[in-house]
Amino acid sequence: MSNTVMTKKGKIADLRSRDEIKAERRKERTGVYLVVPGLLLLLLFFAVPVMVLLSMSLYARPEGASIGEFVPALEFRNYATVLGSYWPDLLRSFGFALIATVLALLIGYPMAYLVAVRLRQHGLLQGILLVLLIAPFFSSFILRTQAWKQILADEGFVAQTMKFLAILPADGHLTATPFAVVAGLTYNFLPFMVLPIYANLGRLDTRLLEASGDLYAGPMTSFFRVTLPLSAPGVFAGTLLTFIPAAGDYVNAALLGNNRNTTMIGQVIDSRFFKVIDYPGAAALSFVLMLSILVLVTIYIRRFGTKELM
Amino acid sequence: MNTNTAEPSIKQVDLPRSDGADLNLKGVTKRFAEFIAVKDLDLMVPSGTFFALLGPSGCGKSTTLRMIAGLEAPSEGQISIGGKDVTALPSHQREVNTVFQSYALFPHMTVLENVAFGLKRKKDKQAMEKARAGLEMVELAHLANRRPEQLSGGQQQRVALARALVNRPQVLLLDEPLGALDMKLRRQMQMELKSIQTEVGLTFIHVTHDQEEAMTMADVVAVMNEGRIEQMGAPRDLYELPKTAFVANFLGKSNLMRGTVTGERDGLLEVAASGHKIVVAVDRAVQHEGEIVVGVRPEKLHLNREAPAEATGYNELSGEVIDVSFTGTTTEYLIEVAGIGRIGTFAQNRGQQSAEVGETVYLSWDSAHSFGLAGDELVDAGVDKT
Amino acid sequence: MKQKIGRWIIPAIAGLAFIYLLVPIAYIFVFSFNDAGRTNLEWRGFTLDNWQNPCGAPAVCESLVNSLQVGVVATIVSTALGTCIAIGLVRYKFRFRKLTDVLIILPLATPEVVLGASLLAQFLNLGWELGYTTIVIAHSVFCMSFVIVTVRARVSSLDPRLEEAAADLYSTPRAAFLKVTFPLLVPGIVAAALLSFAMSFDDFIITNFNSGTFQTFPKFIYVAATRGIPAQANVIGSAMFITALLVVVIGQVMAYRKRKRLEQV
Repeated sequence: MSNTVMTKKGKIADLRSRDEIKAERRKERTGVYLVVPGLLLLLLFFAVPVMVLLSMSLYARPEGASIGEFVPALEFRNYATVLGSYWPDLLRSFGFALIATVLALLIGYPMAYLVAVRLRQHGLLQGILLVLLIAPFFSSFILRTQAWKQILADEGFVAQTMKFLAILPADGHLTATPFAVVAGLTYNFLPFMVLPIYANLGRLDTRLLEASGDLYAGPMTSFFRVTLPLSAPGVFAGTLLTFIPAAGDYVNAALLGNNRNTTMIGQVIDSRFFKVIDYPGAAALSFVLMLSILVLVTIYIRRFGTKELM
Repeated sequence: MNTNTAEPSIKQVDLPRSDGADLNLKGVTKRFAEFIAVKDLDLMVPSGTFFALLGPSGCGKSTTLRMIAGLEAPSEGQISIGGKDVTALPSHQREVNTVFQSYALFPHMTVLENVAFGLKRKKDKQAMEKARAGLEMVELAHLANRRPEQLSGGQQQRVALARALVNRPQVLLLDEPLGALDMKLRRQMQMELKSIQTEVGLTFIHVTHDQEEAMTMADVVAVMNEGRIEQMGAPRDLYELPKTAFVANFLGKSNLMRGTVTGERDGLLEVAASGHKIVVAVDRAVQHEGEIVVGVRPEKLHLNREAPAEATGYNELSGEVIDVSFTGTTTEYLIEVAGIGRIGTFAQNRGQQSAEVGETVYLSWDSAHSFGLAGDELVDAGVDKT
Repeated sequence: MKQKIGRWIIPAIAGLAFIYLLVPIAYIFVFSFNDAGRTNLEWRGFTLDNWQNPCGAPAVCESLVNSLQVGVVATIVSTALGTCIAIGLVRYKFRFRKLTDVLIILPLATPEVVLGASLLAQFLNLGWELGYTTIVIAHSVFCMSFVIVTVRARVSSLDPRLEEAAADLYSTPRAAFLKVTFPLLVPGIVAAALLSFAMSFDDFIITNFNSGTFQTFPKFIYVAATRGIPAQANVIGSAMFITALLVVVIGQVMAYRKRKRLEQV
């Protein structure tokens, strides 16, 4: 592989000329200069913090210590304790995130397809819809979630109409339900699903669909046999970009949920940090969340992954 | 706006003549991690020459070009231009310009900005005027404010040429510059390139895998194979007297026959090939004894339906026609000669009755058209296998 | 018949989806004109007061200015460092490339809660006071990975021959970068910067962990949500949306005109 060979005396000789070596060194140095500052930021404020979090998750609380006082230790029981209490919330988080991801895919794919493929010849309309897809990012996500809360409120128009039509029982609610939380998650992460698929479908060669049609495939067959497989990398990126933040989110659960059956793991971590002041417990839960997502994502990548991602 | 149909031809412009400079490569070798691209290459290109480096893909011709341009550092050896050693000089300090294979026009600049780019980097005060003159030379002055993407392939090619030429380099490198053009445009551009070169008098190094292109345009052709130059010379000399099987097959077609030298008489070598006697001029053979390979170009063969009268200095073979194909101006024949194999030839379609498949025919050719190659040559080296 | 349904089903679903996406924004916009008083929960009549006096409610504008400041600084830091890394990764060889790759991808695969919690743990450990600086650091880190991914795609799609052509045409490596590479990367870098700013401006979870008493706009709304959000927040939310809309639309129109103009030459 490298530019070296073993000489007769068994020494390694470099076959490259001085100019070649100089050019290569210069190139390597430039590369290092470019990468090091950002890498330092990532090391100091991502890699090291994760390690700190890991060590914090093993801290112990000495007898009679005041609130928020912990000592470094190897207290693996922390994990057993928090998992024992909060495993349902962890499972629920993944469940909600999964449903929201599937819903976002079902809603988002047609959106991306419409804008990227159907409207390809209509530059202006395509532009407008694309703007509408991106612009919600700029009107605060919490403000929008709060708006949903008010739209779906018991005394609101939607709930009242549904009750009038007897779709919703008279004493039923739309907010403070798992339904509201999942709807909120789907809503908030929808653009993360649509944009990668849009970017991918934007490169779709529509002549392939003509070819497929020419070879006796109906529109449905063409879609499932040609379009969908070709857009797999976009779908793949979209599902990851939706699932990961959704699983760790707690704003939707906090604003649209209740205290009984909508608690997500993010809420628990937040409250163990700030309300209960149980740093080791919160750290342990964070770590479990991170690891389970990494494991799930790795399995997902192994099973469906494409090299084109990232 | 019609873009593709009528490419305007290049007109005479008052660009000053310059003589270019000699280019000299001494013992140049380039090793990459996995293979050796160029092996101990010696090359001397006199100034003002249109020089073609011809070879199949992967033969090292592009790497050679990149080393001359300074885009790649040689592992060993020395490159000098106009007598000055430039081996260690980075690309931007060399008086060499390249017309890239895919043109590599800057997409964010107009055509004029593209052409003026090199002059501006050299802080030429007349950059814009010279760029305009350059565009005029390639008849694209009217498209100066367009973006490269708005031009046809042929137009982009001209812009790339103008962009390199306006800098008046000592050596101009052309890396398969016509590869992306269709056949008709290609032939036209070949003529124009040749006339520009004559006009400006620069040293041109043209890399191509198209043997016809190389022969039409170049003063000197070097055939490259596996990192080495197999043979170098004027196109006609290379064609008429190839020194290796690779050159014989890559540059046009050849019929190659293996045999053993049995004797020498009147300046002719007598060769026994599976029971047939073939003669080849001594001074047209690279080897004079033992096993050798004798070759002859298909168009040198005469095809007769009856056995011709014996003549000294002529070679004669007979065989059975196994394939006839009509190509318009000529008809091509494939003849199976017992012990030797298949021999190809063709005849101009002058209304004579053609031989038919299965018929026995007689082939003859002047021994002055035979050439002798070394006996260890592979008969199918350099044959286009596609 | 079946074909007809097929033609309409996608626009129909997509249309409903766009409505779903825009309903809350319409709601926010409408309620920015509500004569709300302290809580903006139900419609009490139309007024322009909120728009005329967007800083009328306490802390709204302060938090907005804070968010803008954090957003701008974090965008500059993450875009500059991220662009350098993207170029370095695509164009240069060096040791530890694999490790660098992993280090870039991991933050993207880490939920915000965990990013926020680990940074908090780090800041607690270092004994740093939470506030403006810690948020800027936190935002720079999580935006940088997005910048790298975005810009890297752009760098990889760049033809390396263009740089060679520049060198061949007497450009020093510096000139080749400034005149050729960088201008071609600008669209990607701008997109990355916009994305960064949007993510930073809208971030709540990481901010909540690392801001201490420092108030950002999303944090302000989250806290206010329990008591009732002032209508001025709706004004600001709507104004941001409209500004973004205008910026993109103007950009599109300019690009469209430029294309037209070029075609006429």
